[in-house]
Amino acid sequence: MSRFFTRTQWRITTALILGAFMFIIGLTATGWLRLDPLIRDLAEVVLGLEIPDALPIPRQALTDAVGSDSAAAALTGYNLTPIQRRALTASATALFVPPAFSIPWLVSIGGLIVAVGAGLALWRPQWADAMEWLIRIGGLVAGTYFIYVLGMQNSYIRAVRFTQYLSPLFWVALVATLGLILRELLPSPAPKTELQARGTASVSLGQNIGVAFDALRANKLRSALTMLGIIIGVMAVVSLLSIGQGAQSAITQQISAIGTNLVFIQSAASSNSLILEDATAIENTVDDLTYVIPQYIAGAQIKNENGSVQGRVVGATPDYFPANNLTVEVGRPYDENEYDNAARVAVIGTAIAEELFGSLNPVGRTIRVNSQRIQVIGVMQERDAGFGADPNYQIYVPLTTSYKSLFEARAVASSRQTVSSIIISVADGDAVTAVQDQIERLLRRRHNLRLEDENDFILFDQQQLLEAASAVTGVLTILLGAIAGVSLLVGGIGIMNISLVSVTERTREIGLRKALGARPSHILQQFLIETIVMSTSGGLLGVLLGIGLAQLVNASGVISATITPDSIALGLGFSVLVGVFFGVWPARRAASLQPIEALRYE
Amino acid sequence: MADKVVIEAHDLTKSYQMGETTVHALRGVSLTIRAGEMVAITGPSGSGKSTLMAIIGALDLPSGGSYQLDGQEVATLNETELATIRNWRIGFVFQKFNLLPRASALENVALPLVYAGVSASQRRERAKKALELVDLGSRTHHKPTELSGGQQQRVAIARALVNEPAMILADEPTGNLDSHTGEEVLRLFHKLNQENGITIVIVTHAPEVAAQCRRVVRIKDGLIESDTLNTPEVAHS
Repeated sequence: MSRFFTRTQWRITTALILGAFMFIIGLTATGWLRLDPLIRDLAEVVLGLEIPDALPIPRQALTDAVGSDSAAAALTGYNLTPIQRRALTASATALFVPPAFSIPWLVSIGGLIVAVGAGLALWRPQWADAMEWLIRIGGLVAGTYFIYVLGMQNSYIRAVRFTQYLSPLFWVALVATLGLILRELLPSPAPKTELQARGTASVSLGQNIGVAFDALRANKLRSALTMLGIIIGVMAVVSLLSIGQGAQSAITQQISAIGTNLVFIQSAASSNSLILEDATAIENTVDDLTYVIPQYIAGAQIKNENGSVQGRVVGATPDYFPANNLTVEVGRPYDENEYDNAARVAVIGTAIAEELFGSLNPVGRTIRVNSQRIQVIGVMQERDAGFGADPNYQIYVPLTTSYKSLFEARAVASSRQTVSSIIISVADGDAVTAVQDQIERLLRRRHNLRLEDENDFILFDQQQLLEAASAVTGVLTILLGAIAGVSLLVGGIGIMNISLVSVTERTREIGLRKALGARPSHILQQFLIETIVMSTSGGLLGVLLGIGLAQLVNASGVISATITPDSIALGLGFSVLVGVFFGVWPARRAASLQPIEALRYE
Repeated sequence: MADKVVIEAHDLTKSYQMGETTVHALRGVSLTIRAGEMVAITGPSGSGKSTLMAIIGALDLPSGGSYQLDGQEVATLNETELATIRNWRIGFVFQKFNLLPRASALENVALPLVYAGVSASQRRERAKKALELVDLGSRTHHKPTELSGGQQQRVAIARALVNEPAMILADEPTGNLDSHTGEEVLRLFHKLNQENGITIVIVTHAPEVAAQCRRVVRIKDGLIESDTLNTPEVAHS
């Protein structure tokens, strides 16, 4: 120990440095200060973290992306897969949330609170006690960010795992959160006199944990019931987050499976502005396209002598199958010839095959679609049912057949053949944006839109689709997590309740311990560790049960649940924090009991 | 003997606010106790002896006056310092033994050493020694419920001894015992006082307990009524 500083001053100085550090880091994250490239380099050298070189992009470009206002713009021109591009954009942007009131500001403000509190405590030692609270609040603010990073940021960025380590905020918040927990566990020693130098500031953790387990064993049923609250909460967090993550990766995979470099065009809501001729015009005007596939999709009653099914009829061109990476499992897809002749043929989905033909081979047999006879020429491979309509209840016919035989009344008006959407596959991945611009100009001209008119069609690429979908599932995951978090909160209140009862019941024990020389900080530790032991063992059990539940959901086959280290860390971390948060008050109450009154308590 | 002063109290006062009225529990008590003495503080209930014990035991602070325990002024200490001085200088023995029911005799005796920061192996060793001093060396692993009342009180005395305090402060130590085991406990106090030179202060309302101490301080209405020396007629064991 230093001769110049007392231990209190050391603690406060550490808080000051930590707070100032958080403040600066927070500012960089808001975009006001540009230290990230430097910090990233430091992280690499000091912490040994590496950005995998497998990415087809120079390191400098990545650094520039992190340091620029528009990460997406900085990343253009590199040959990245859409997923890589998305993940990198997301991670680069995550470090630079716009300077509105946002989470990085919280870190910054938290850091400022800590630093100011610590500075005041150094300046006026008699304020140290009050400042302790400021430091705590600041730490809590930063801790909130830590949870945010764990819980949310990662759920958006799944493709490139290392991105979380790019964020120095993550590390700061982690340290601050651990520091916050340690501050509560460590007593505040201030040895000024010989008397204070005697004895020990803190009883060994092992001793405390032993006492905590003894106390929990003394009331087995009560402890178990209290823990149950945490167990259920953590179980819910882990399993629901796993389900959310599972749904997210399922959707991401589904969209990626459609094929890369796709551009989608749809009619704007409530207009039938897109017509077949638009697709033809695009095909004839825009270069570098592999496929242009107009689609007309409509619901229909699909029947045969065995039964009747409500299904969807997808009318498209023969390119539909290769463009969507779809294989016809039995039989064959329709060909150009059948397309040109509007042949009455269809490839049917597995669910329809099952319901109408059972174990029979449907190929060569006839079904009726809107009372029209159609010959089955193939059965589609089984497709994953994501969110939305089950694709196994679809049948696939030539678009010409849709117009001529099936939906003439609805789809064709005054010789305009409307389409539901157009799928375009671009030959060169880097040209997607340019192609989109070209198509937009072309369609606006064809639809006679004036300069001030909005598009009467919607144009988006696969990456945007991916973003939209993962935003939706991200929100879903957070929502599920939040619901689970509420049950964890309720469990925490249960812990606090029992802890308060326990403090009252053991008033005499507290009095005795104090008479024998326990300091207030010893008592605080004892009770705090008791709640933490309770919540953490509940958390561990909850994680195990949560994993089990997620596996069960997986086994049921309805939804696939992905158990990630994040959800486990989140569940466990939350349970420890719940123990600290809800344990502090009862423990403080115990610590502040007057020894003589506690001894005489009946 | 020109022994060192353990307790040096001067003009101690203590008053409580009970609703509207102020209760003056101590009205100016001055008391000196030297090392190696065995003193009884006695008086009827409500006399202020419990208040005096709480202050002497550093469990409570006086409203006025000064109190030095083993040369250390107590009235100005904060809670942490008070805890330390209790741990280091005072061994408490209570009427109701106050043992932790789930801990063994050895663990109970070692408890003050936990807060003194003594290592686990040293704690065991010293606790064992203290138990041997009260003739319970063979019952170290018994839980309090497996011991008789007299044995429990001896465990409590071992706990009071274990950190080598300046004095043992006993609050009605025989109050929960039958007269025979009460005698035993008092004999143990005598033995510790005479053979080991330990300073012992017993707070009691029972005249027969006070009669066995060499010095008797009588408190009445918050003041010292008398401070006399006895010739104890106790049978030596």
